[in-house]
Amino acid sequence: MFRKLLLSICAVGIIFSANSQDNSDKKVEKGEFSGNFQTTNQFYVKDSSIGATTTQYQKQLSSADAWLLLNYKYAGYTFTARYDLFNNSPLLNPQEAYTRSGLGMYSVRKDMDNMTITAGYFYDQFASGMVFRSYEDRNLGLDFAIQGAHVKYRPTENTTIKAFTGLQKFRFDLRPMVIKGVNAEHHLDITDNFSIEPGASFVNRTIDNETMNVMAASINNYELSKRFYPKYNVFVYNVYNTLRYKNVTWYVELAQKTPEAIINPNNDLMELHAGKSYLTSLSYSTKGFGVNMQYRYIDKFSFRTSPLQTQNTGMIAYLPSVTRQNVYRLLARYNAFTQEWGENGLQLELSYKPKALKKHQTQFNFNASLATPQGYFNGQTINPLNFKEDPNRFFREYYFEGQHKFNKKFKLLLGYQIINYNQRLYEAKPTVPYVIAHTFFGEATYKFTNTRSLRMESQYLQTNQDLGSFVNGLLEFNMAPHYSFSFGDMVNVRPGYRNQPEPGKAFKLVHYWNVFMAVTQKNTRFTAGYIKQVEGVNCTGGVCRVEPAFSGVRLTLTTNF
Amino acid sequence: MKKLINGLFILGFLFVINACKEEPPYINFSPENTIGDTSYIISPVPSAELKSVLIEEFSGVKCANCPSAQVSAKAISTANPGRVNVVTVHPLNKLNALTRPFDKAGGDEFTSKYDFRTEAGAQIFEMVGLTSGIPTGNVNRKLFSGEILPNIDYPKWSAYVNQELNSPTPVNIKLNAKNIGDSIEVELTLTYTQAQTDSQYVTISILESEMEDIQESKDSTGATIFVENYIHRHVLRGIITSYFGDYLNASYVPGRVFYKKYRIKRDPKWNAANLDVVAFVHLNTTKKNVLHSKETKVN
Repeated sequence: MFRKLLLSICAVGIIFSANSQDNSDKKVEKGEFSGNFQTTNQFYVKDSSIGATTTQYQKQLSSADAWLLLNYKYAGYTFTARYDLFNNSPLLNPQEAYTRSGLGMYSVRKDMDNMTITAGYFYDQFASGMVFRSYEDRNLGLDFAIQGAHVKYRPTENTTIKAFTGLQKFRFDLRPMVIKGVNAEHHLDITDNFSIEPGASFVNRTIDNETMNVMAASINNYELSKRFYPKYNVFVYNVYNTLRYKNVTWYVELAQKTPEAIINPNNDLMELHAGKSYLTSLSYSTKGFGVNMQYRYIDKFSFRTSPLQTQNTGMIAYLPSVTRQNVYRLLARYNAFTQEWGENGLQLELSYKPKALKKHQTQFNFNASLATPQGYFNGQTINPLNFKEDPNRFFREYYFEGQHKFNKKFKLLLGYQIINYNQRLYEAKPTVPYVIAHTFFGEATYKFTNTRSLRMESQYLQTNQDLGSFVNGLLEFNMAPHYSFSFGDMVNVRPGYRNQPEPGKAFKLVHYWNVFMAVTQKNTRFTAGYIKQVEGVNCTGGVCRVEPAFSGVRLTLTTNF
Repeated sequence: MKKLINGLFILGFLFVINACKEEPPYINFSPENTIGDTSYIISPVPSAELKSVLIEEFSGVKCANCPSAQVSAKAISTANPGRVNVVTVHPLNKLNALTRPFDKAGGDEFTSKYDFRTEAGAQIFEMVGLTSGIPTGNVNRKLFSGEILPNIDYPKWSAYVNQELNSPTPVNIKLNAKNIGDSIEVELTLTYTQAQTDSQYVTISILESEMEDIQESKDSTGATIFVENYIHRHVLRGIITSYFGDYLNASYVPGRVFYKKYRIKRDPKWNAANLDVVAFVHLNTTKKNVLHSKETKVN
């Protein structure tokens, strides 16, 4: 199939070239090929002490994922094809060894003066993505491309109208539910420093007969009082606006959906509910100071291809977590993913560069985020000085960071984070206690020369819950622009609720060490590492999933051409 | 003017969206007919029964080719005594030109005594796979390799029935039914002999036979005729369980027993002496495959 498509693309290219030659009076335009390739290869080394025991450790022993994307542009046409490969891969489902390869996506796009038409697979989003986003995130094994037709029309320079219809991709197949939508937005400059950008969208999803039969069969087995008529169609719509006045930006988005069957939080029954989600953010920035506040309210706003899809499957609406995305290993240990059934999410970010320390590029950052269920965005649950455990405070993080550049060679970053985390909810572990974790962290970078530097980072996470306390250290030597080497170890230094040693036995330190190297040559980067990774919630771009522990060798190669 | 047109377009669009009222799937809001329901595990595990096959045949009284399908189903059943259970389904409001009863008031030459059509039949027709014409039918609701739908033309039934008869069944069915006053009471015992992972459902249908009524047919030359004294048999009259089956809620391990007892009010139009019930265990995900079926007379 893939070969056929490549041949077709080449054939189309040749036909266009031939036409150009025939019309010798016309300017001969050359086509342009571009693309990229990415692969991850993992070799598994079983380690029962950290729970690295999934099927790959027992049977397949290795896995590979790869993507080759090709684009050919000619005379306003863009032909795109992507080859996807999964061999014994845990990427799409960490508990599964999935093997299949073939054409992952293809599309033909034509750009005209004020219109762009795409047929095949496409990625797009309306506003923040709350009512529709088709996207790909390879780190999480997500690919929500839509296969269908997409039109983008610009009647004026400041107005864009988009419309599409299609089916959502599922691995190498398509989900049978039809999705269609339309979006319009307009940019209006009222004065030189005052502008607005209003927009509105409308999305409809229709459930196919076969899926509806399965749903109806389930509902017919509910208690009489819990039965209801499920809907084939759901309509989701939003209005939004971005207002900019001098240094202030205010974004507001209101989205609602008509009643449809959605799975309840216990994951055992479908219920018929309408949904709504409201998002607003306000930011102000000036030289040396920036502040950003974000609030989102969600009430039963699960929008998927069908209610039979849960977790990270069949997502049409994009509802990323409003909490901070941490980079350091222990700071990213606890993550909150969005509760579609109901959530109040709040985030505040502050950034300050004192003028007096301008020479040292000193900066202080503060971040606070909070997630609560509906009806609990009040009282002690949101009291910022209440540090007692509260299961209704799904998640709270306070993050402080200060960085200071002492001289051209040396800079230092120090910080502190405190997390409140409802592990029962986020990791579906019904008997575990509420987690409160304190983490102290630091990073130092010393430049020997313009191209040689040494970076050291360390964190200490203290908690009595979950797997207890950890220390993490990393030493990284960089030889720019080609080489980078690092060695690190994360050690479980004290047990928590979940890994208490048996009575009479001492706790054994558990090491999650890793050795890593990266080689970069022009547009190509190769990495190799021996990695031990703790189980937990992995988040990318605000979307999260629970991943098992990893132990083994990981090789990656990425290149653009 | 342009703004007015755009505004009207949006209003029209919203009107169209609001005007479209969808027809929901069948949801049973009637009280349950279950009067007994229990599950347990027995040991030793009994030996497996021979598998019986279900033929669901979709028919209509104005369908001239349907009697041929019934002859075919009867022949398959006779050739495999006790192992083929035939259900003739007249779906309500589907393919009306072929399924609606004869009615002189509606311009027909005759008036039917019975209306064999049921909502249950329509729901099953839709679930297993609507076709553009009848006769059609399925063998164990299974999508066989090379077929587009489980519902297939009747000349193919025989080969697929033989294929199904040669496969084992993981569950044994014991079925008893009796008339008690104005009700029908059905006792069902399912015993698993092999472990199963897919969710399992049980459906119990009520059939009536020996009903004499008009039926469109064809003579030996192929000309359309109307047989006024046609004997209609195995006609689906109702479903005791949910139309799409009652969920069997326990692990399907060898030795697992589900015991269920149902009581349903008998429709006064039914002849109590000519009733049968068919019980079958089936899947209800994207696959609807029937794993085993059993038919018994309502005594």
